[in-house]
Order: sequence, then C-alpha cells, then structure tokens
Amino acid sequence: MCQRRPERHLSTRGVGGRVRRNEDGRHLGGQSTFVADVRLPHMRDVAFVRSMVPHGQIMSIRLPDGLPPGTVWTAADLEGLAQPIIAAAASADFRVSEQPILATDKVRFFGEPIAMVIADDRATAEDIAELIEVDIEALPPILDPLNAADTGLGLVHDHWPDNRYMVRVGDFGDVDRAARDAEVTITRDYKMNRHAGVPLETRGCVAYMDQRADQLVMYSSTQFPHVIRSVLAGLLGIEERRFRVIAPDVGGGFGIKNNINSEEVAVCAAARQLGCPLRWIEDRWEHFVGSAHARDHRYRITAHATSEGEILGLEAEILVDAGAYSVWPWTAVMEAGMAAGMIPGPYRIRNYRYTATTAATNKAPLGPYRGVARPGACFAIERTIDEVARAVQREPAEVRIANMVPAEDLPYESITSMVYDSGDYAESVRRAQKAIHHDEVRQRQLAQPIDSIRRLGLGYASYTEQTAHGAEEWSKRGLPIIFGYETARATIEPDGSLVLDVGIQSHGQGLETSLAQVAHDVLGVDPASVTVRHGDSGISPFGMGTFASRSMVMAGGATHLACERLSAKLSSIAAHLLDCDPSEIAVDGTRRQGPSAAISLRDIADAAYLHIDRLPVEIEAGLSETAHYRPEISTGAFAYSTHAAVVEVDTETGMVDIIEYAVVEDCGRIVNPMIVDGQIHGGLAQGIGTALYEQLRYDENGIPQDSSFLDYRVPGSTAVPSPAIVHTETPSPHTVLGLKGMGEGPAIAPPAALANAITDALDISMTTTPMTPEVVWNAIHQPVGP
Amino acid sequence: MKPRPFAYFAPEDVEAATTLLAEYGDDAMVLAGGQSLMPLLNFRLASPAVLVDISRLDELRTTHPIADGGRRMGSALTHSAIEDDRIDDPTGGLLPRVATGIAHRSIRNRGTLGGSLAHADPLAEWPLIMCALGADVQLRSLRGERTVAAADFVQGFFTTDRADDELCVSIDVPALAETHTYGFCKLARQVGDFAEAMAVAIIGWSGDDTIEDVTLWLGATRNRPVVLSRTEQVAVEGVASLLQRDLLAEAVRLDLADVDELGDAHRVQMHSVAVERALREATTERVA
Repeated sequence: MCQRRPERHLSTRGVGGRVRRNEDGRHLGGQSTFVADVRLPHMRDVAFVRSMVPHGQIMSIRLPDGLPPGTVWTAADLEGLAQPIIAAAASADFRVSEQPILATDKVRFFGEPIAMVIADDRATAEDIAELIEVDIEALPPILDPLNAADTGLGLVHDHWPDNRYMVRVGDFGDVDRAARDAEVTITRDYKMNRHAGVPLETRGCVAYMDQRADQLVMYSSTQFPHVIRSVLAGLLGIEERRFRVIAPDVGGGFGIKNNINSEEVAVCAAARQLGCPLRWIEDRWEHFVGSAHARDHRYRITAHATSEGEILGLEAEILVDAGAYSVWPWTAVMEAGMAAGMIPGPYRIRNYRYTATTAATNKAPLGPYRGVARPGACFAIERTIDEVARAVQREPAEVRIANMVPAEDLPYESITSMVYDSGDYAESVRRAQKAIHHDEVRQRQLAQPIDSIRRLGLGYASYTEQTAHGAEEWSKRGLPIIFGYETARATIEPDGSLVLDVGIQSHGQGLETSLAQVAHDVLGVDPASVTVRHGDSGISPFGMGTFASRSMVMAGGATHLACERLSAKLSSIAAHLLDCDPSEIAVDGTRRQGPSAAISLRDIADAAYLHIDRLPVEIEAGLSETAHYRPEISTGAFAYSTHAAVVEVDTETGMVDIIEYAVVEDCGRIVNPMIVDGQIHGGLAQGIGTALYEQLRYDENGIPQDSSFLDYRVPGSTAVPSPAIVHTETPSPHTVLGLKGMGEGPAIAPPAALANAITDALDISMTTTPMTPEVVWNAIHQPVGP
Repeated sequence: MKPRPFAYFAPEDVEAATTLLAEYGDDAMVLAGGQSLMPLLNFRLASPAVLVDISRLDELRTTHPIADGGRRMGSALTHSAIEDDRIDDPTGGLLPRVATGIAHRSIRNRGTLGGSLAHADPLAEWPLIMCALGADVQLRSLRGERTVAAADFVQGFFTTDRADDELCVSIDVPALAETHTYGFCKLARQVGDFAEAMAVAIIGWSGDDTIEDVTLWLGATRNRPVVLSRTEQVAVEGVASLLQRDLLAEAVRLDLADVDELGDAHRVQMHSVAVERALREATTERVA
C-alpha cells in the first residue's frame, strides 16, 4: 500500500519521475564488476594473520622456514613504508589513539591484523598463515565501558590516564527548575547492543603499480575513493598525482566502507614494493571480527514532565563503547556527540543536560553505520516518550504530538543548535496513525481474551534527521577534514550525448539514475541515455563520498548547476547557429528551439567540437562545464519520519511477529519515488535487524561469540514486512531543488517503534536491543523495574 | 576461509566409494550435498586428506517399497525430493512437512537425507524424525552390509555409529498407520533458521478414539535427539483433558534432567512449548 503523489512535474522522467534505474541491467543480470571480479595478470592473494587474543604484548613472531622473500610481512617490514592511522578530534580533551597498520608491540582487539601473507591464491596464503607462530603474552582485557574511568584494570592505550577517549558535557536552559516543576519524573536505562554492518559484499581491495602511468592504482570497495586516496597518500608517502583509487561496483557500504582500513594501507605498501598486483578480499569471519562495528550505546534518560505528559526537561547520560581505536576520519567521539545532539529529537525541549562519554575497550573499533548514532538516540528518546505516556496514562501518539515542535515554529533552532528547517512533525504522526489503522488496532487489543498467549502491541517512533550537513556542521564536530561540497562536470560529447562526471560515489543508491533525472530537467536528455561516471579518481572530479545522507542533495545540486551552465552555453551556440538571441532559445527535449527553427544537440556539439569554424571566436570550443555545490546554509536539511508498528508477541516463547508496519516520510522534494521506496525497504530491514536479531557479543575473555552467520542473525526476507509507505514532500529551503537526504533515515526508527510496540503488547518496558525471544521472555517472567 | 588441501574422488558406484573409504579410513570424508561439510572445510574445522563425493551416485537416489507399507529411501535423496514428495512418503505427510522447513530451497536442492543423518548435527531435523519414526539405517562397506536403528545410529553431538569404512546407503522408513496421528513443532527465529526448539509427537489411537500410545521425541538439544519417556506417560494419561500444562512442563524438565539437557529457564521453556505444541497438533487433528 503506497500513497502516490499525483504527477505534477513537466516530465515523468525528470525529478519526481518513477524512472527505472540505469544500473538495473548490470546488477540484475549478474554483470557488475565488484572488487573481487577484478582480474589482473600475475595477481597474488593476501591473507592476514589476526590476533586471537583481545589484549596482549607480542613477544615474538616465528615464520616457517623456506618461504620465498616477500611472502610474510610484519610491522617491521612496513617500517618507513606506512604510517599508523591517527584520527584525532579537534579538541584538547580528546585522547589520541594510534592504530598500527600491522600490530607492533601490542594487540588491542581480537582480529587485529598482525601479519600479512602473500601467495599465489588465498587458500595457499591461509595455509602459510596457519604456520606462523605468534607468541602473545596476554594482558587482562578491558571489556566493560562502565569501568572506563577505573585505572586499576589496565589500559588499552598505555599513555592514557584512563580508558576514556573523551567526556563531553552540555547544560542548556534550567534543568533543575524543570525537575522542581515536574509532576512526573521518570528515569530509565536503555541499551543498543553492538552489532556488525554486514554489507552483502565484504570489504576488499586490489592494488598494483601501473608503470605506464607511473602510478599506484587501488581498486577498493569503498564509499569515498577520493578521500581515501588523500589520506592513504599521506600514510604511504606518495604524491596524489601518482595514486589512483577506483571504487568499482560496490555491494553495499552502510558506513562500514567509509573508513580508512589498515588492510588497504598494508596491501598498497606491499604492492608498491613487489611490483605485482595484490588482492585482499575480506571473508565473512574477518568482517565480523575485524571490520568496524556499530552501535554499542548505553543511555540513562531522565524526563521531567507535567501530569499531562508535557516534557519540561531532559537529562541524558550517554556512554558509547568505541572499541580499541578511533576510526579515520570520524573519530571515536562522533557517536556520543551526535547522540547527545539528537536526544531532544523533534520535540520542543528547552531544558536539557547531558554527559556523553566515549570509552575505549579491547574490542573492534566502532565506526559509522546507517543512521550513525541516531538509531540509539531515537531508541532512547522515543522509548522515553512512551514511558512518560505510560506514567501519565495517555495515548503515546498523543503525548508525542503534544510535545513536538509545532509546524508554525519551523524553522526552529533546537536546544542543541540544530536548525530544523521545514516540515510538520505532528502531521507525520497523525498520518502514521491513519496508515496503521490506529483505532482499529486499539479495538482489536481490547477484544483480546485476557489469557491470550499472543499479545498485540502498537508502537510509534518519530525522528528528525540532519542530512547533507555541510562545512559548518563538520567543522563544529572537529573532524580532520570538512565535507562541505560536491562537484559535477557535465559534458556533451561531439555526437551530442551527455556524460556526467561526479565526485560522489554510488553503491546501491541509484545515483546513476537520479542524477540523470536532475540533468534531464535542465538539458532535456532522456535519463536512460545519460552516462554517469563516478568512483574513480582518474576520471571523476574530486568528491567527498557517499555517506551522511548527503549524495543526492550535494551531487544533485552540483549536477543541476553544471547542467545549467552547460545549458547556457548550448543556448549561446544555438542562438548563433539559428541567428537569434540566446534568450529566445527554448529547451525542447534534445533540441533547442529558436523563433523560426530548431537545432539538435548533435548539431550544436558538432559545431562546438568538429566545426568550430561555424562559431565566432567569443564562443569557446567544447561543451563541458564544472560546478561545485556548497549549500548556503550548511547545518543540514532535516528529513523527518514517523514509523508505526503492530506486533504480536508470543508470551510463551518471547517470539515477536511484525503484523503491520507503516512509514510516513518526508525527504523534501522526491527525485525518484521508487528509489525512495527502495531505501525505505532496505532501511527497515536493517532497523529490524538492530531491533530483533543482530548482536555481536564478546565473552568475558574478549572473544567474539558471533563470528559467522550461524550465530550472527540477520533478518531474512520473511522477517521483513512490506511497509505501508506515505510520502509527504516539504522542500528544504536550504538546498537546490529543495532536496533532503534520505539514505539513512529508514534504519533509524524501527528499533524504537518495535520496542514501543512490544512494550505496549506486554505492558513491560523494553529497554535493550536486540529484543530476542530470550530477552522478551525474560522480561515477561523476571520483570525489571517499574 | 578457504579449505586446507585435500584430494577429491568422485567414484562411479557404491563399491568404488566403499573401496576408497576402506583405503583411506579416517583420512576420508564423504561429500554428499556439501551443505554442512563445505562450510566446515572452509572454516578449517574439518581437514580430511580425501573427499569421496557420492552426490552423483544414482543408486543412492532411488526409493522403493518395503514391508508393511514402509519405504527404503536412498541416502543421497535431497531434502527437495522429499519436500516435493518424489519419494512416495509413507508417513502421511510428515516427511514432506519436515523437509519444507529445512533451511532454504537452494540448500534443500543439494542437502541430502543420509548426509544429514550421518552428520548428526543436534539441530538438524532428520536425526530427530528418523529416531521418532523408528527408521533403520543401512550401512555398507567392503566388509558387507548391516542395519542399525536410527536411534542407535545417532549417538551424540556430530557422532554416529558409522565406521570409517562404511557408507550410509539407505534409510528404511516404516509407514505411519492410519491409526496414528503426528504433530511436529519447530520453533525458529525465522524461515530457514535452525530450530531453537523442536519436537515430534506420534500418537496411536484405539478404535474408540482413546490414546493407546504416545511417542515423543525432542530435537535441537545439545547432544542428540531425546525420547521423553516421562512426558510420553503424562501425555497418555492427560491428553484426553487436553494437556495439563504444568504437569507436562514438569515432565519435560525431568526428562531433560535425565539426559543432562537442562539449560537456562528460557531454553527449557522453549523445549517445553515445542513439546506441548507438537502434542496439541497430534491430538487436535484427531479430536476435530
């Protein structure tokens, strides 16, 4: 069930059109080229020897006899060839971690690379890896972030005073007064457990020296080829002019491929020395133990409210377990910082106090994952709203609406200085109520027999999400680099066909189609006939990469501007050839119409490239225009959404079935409704994973317990309902075309909506993800807290 | 995640296969559908020197009638073949029903009945079902052929009665008589997952619709399928009044304690629920 907006754009193929993806042919036909499909002559395979202890001192590394030189690389072999990874936040309080490319003296998490083995194929490399004896003197692992301030338990980083990257505090308004005025005060603890990213395609890279071009070439399954080229060039000591990074087809990233990985650094360093192509393809075990992990947030939220459920003030203690190292470029403190900023959510909160602590432990580093910090913050605040509603015995949807920033107050600056730019949050909840058939579900609940084993529950979760934030926001966060713009180059080739070279990278977002739709509206070319080239530093202009729900806004803006510039040039050439004024030229598909005659793009291009004799000297040859787009207001375009879930809980087993699900979303002007729907389906699947299935547990010795799909559960197709989707469109006033980001949003709310629904079904507070049958059943049979 | 080196043989008939097994003994492993063995090889949890691939042996994919309406089923029959009832199911629908719930179709297209039994994963369906049905397993080697009851064949966690030189060639499944009903309950997180808990109940009825006997087996244990003798007794006595839940749960607990299968409260509860639901299905069919 999907409410469709009536088509109101000029062309059904431009912005707003339901256009089939240009990418579908190769992806659905099995003809894509992922990094593991890259075949180069004399290519050799890499396997890593990884630490099997979470914390310890490396005493010795013993290699088997008789190996050819260059087979095994340790930290000693990389000395002078590669620098360690340092991701420091621009704050004096931030404690810096130094991540060696291969472990030097100490290992700090299970799975940390210690040695690199190169052989003719991966199986042989693994055979050799098995024979390498690493003697590690184990140290007690630091595993509990709650003890981060306790210096007696040992240190993850020996030069730190304790195991905290940073503690950030904020105090806004008058929380103490809100506490005094409150008729109801509720404190609850919430926990969103650690999990993995699990893209369909794992990480991987292929690196080789291209002697003809005198450059190092790396194919990498990455979300930001230009940015990793910059940082890798620094770590490897190579000029960027002599380094090309190519992201081929990428089978999902979700943030996991948005970091600098030590494996890539090691492979590049060795490839430069050995002169043969090297390939490393992460296997699934490596992914679970060695890729950046996600979430691992704890919250203690106190809400001060009136007896009507109006929230007067909020207090938040946030604790994030960021693992052993700070990942580049995000830094270890991004999660806690963002969570602190987003706790007030779409609500009118004027008194707010937080402490945000980021702990270091002997676990894999924490990195960005779809939603980045927001799913945790949303879980905490949306559960809190429902806890307040339960305490004052009101309908949670109503308490939600009553506390929301009213539409007439937008644009609204939140207590944490976020500028909510546009929309109607309360209306989003009302539409979600309608889409989920709120009254009917409440009736069905009342009709349940009192002793029914299966209990029905209804839950909501709303959020407003900063997307496509630019220079100002990233600068405020103190990142090592600032992601403030995107670049596009629009080129009409000599035969009149259109190529867009963009700095952005597409790995499943359909940007080869949606950017073509933006170009279509300006230049008239059929989107199916536009070539969009991206993800290759040898072809595309410099770009920041695809993350933070920024690509359509930023690259769409750049594409729009570049096409407008190109269109102006087309008009000036057309005007000259048709003997009229450029202002008299109108766009008519791929023709330019003058007062008395029309001319095709092909003929304009022919003149611009092959028959410049037809043009006056004032008109430059060629048809290629580049634009950099940087939003004027760079605090972000705020998308928002409400999710509604109906669940049935089997009280005998603790198993949860999702019966109905509805998503009301507003991502500003929609470029392609089918792609937006696809993002909702995928985000919902991952959100359900966080809510019900996915968890990466470490045992008391610091050993990962969920390192294959046997133990690590992801939702399959039967576990993900097809949601009712309601689109609303409130254009952002801050971006070209009124676009807002929408890549991450759908993964934010499901944990909160499902937890609220289960809480509603059982009248027991759900406080932890994933809500496995065991967790739910234990909550029923050993209720904790009020 | 690549296997250690091994030699691969694809013998042309059962005799050639058993000859290889006789030659290589415990250095060899039998490859049938490979749906469990290949991951074990890739994880390097198993490292046989020799793989004997029997998946192309047609004689292991046949099925033919045996005494009393039973069926002899070749060990290399796939789960899909059973799911699609290309085997003339002698159990009135139990075998296809169970097969449908095993993993995903692409796995069922390759995974085999005999492979599942010989692998003896405690979470697998066939060891449980074949124990409950009282099936027999035929093992062949150069030394000859022998038959062993499924309940004796499946000995424990990935452990069977098969000798290193023996090949599991067929399984004799007895018919489930008209006088019997069955119930099967697999509690899994989602379609295609291994069971969290799993039970099968077979009830024999007299002419006047009273229960004569109950066979009750529990799977998804830590070790091997378990016959729940005390619970069977409670079920025989209490099933007419549609099962007293507490009595039943207590009986399951005692049965589990007997075989050292008690776990945390939720785990025991899941076993108990699976048993109750299997029994309920077996009885409601008849009562209705």
